[in-house]
Amino acid sequence: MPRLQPLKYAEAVEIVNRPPPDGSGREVLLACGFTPHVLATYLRAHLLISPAARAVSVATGLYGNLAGTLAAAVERPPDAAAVVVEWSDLDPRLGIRHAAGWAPETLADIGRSAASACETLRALLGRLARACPVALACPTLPLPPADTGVAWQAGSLATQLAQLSADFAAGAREAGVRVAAPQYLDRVSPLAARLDVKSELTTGLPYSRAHAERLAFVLASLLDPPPPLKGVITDLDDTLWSGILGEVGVEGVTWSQEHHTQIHGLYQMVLGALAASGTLIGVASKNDPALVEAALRRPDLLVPPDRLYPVIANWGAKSQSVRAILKLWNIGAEAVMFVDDSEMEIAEVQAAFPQMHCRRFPVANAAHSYELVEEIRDRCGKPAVTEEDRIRLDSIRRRGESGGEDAPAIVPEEFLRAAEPRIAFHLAPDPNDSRALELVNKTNQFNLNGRRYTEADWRRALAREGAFLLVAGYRDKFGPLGKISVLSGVCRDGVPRVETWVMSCRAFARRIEYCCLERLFAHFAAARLELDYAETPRNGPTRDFLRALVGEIPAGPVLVERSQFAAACPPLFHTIEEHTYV
Amino acid sequence: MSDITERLVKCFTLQFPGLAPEKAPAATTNTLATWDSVAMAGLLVMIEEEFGIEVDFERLEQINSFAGIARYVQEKLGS
Repeated sequence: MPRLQPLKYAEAVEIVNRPPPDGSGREVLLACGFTPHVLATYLRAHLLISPAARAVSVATGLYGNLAGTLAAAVERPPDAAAVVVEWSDLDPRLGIRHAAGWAPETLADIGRSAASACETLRALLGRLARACPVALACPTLPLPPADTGVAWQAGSLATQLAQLSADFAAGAREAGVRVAAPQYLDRVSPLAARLDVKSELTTGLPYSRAHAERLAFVLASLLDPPPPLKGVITDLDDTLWSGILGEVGVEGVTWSQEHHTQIHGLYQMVLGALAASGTLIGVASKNDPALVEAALRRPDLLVPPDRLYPVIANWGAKSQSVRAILKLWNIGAEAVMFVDDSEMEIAEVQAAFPQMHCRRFPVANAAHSYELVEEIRDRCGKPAVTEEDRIRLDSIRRRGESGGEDAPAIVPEEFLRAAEPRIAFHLAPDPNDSRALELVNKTNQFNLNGRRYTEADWRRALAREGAFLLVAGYRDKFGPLGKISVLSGVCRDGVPRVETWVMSCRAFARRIEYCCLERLFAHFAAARLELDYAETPRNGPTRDFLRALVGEIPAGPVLVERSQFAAACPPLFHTIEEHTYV
Repeated sequence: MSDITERLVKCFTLQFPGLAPEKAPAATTNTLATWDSVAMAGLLVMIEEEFGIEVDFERLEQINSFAGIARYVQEKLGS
């Protein structure tokens, strides 16, 4: 999450007052029916310190007219929208600033009118979500004492409205809206501390400062989701299980309710769930490798043992094992969490990898262990799982088991041919291909210029006249790698200009980069193409490829003639499939 | 400069980024064009947070100068 510790209002104002970050700004609409000032300041501050870190302006609509604000946004979409619906937006009688009365005979009418308002808002949200990213918070405030009866017993109106809100959230989610999780909001902003009656009655802002801040934080996190961590490296003894394997033996380590060590079982289950959605889970343990192998074969293990890769057990420094895992995974320490019960091991690994997220498994405190389990899920989880997430581990495992010989700098011709490589090209601007944008925004090594995009920028770039998007998927006889390369740009006067080009490091040394350029030349029947290259601190592989192509280290954008490409292109053995979106 | 004045200057210069700290104590709604009701609402939140007091918005709204707000805060803290 962008900022776990709440911001003071003065801090938020200070962030908003800072000179804006470089680059183009974006306009975010805060749509709500109340006075938005404090919430708007907090939202802008959280967006400014989010991973996107771009200049942002926050526009708001008219007081009491949420539907009107959304309708106007549908006509002229902003770059993103944060929508906050409160009970009074569904019917003003559900607020505390009206004088219409709460007579029992009006309750049914309030329910009907709220249902109708939900219908209207859901339709507008669906339309808006087709034009820009939309974050939504469903009613967060306690209901006013309108219902007859007592507060501790669910009345008919309260029950009806709770159901209505849940259905509204589900409908919005189905329409592509990113809906704030009510349980998460409950966790970070307790219900009883949300309503500020004085502020509502005097200024029209119903939220306490603390609730406005946490709600803004959640909305910003929905609009600019932090990149999930890619891997967890876990210790075994007193972490993945309870007990010291070398002392109690394979059958002596436990993780069950029966043995009062269920917290380790919960930890295993979360790791298992994350592994199934593409998070890499490795093991670094000071242990006897044979014992570890035997323990990981236990059938009652709650994380599938084949999902733990690699498992490094030895008596050397923990940081060395961690280093080996990072190398095998081919990812940076900043994208990994390390979990161990020993303060000393934590300190040693943290010293070696200052950017790694190191956490101690607090084995003696179940509540703190549970908080850690929740944190791991929040830091590594992702809202949607792609096919690429599912097959990532298999790809890494194949590379590891082959000693890395499928990704050396130079691959023998015969090996390449015998691999029976196949590339599926998907050609067309399809802004809904989330994998394409994800790959663009997380790839560093084979990256033409390091350019990153927000969703709105990406959609805008692809909507331009002559824009193209080429996505390449790869498989060979060893298995699929999924979508591994993305090229986008614009073709003018028959010359394609590639503005963005990334390729996953898992796909290196398969000549896929040559196939991509060949496909572009062929598709546009182009005599030349332009590559908008710029050096970054980490795109050495791109620079080396271009040097091989044009014969010199490029200093900036590169023009490649078709004849030049043909002369430099090595033999390609790939079977090509082309798909074009309609 | 008293502690209250110093902390109020901080609130004012945050809420009105163009206002120089040395000019803040003389600020009034007449001299500061951006001091409107929205700015006042933000200022109120900041004063509450800075001094840990609960501000009577309707009363504060009647005050139109830095000096008046400083007196109000002094009064709240003293009561």
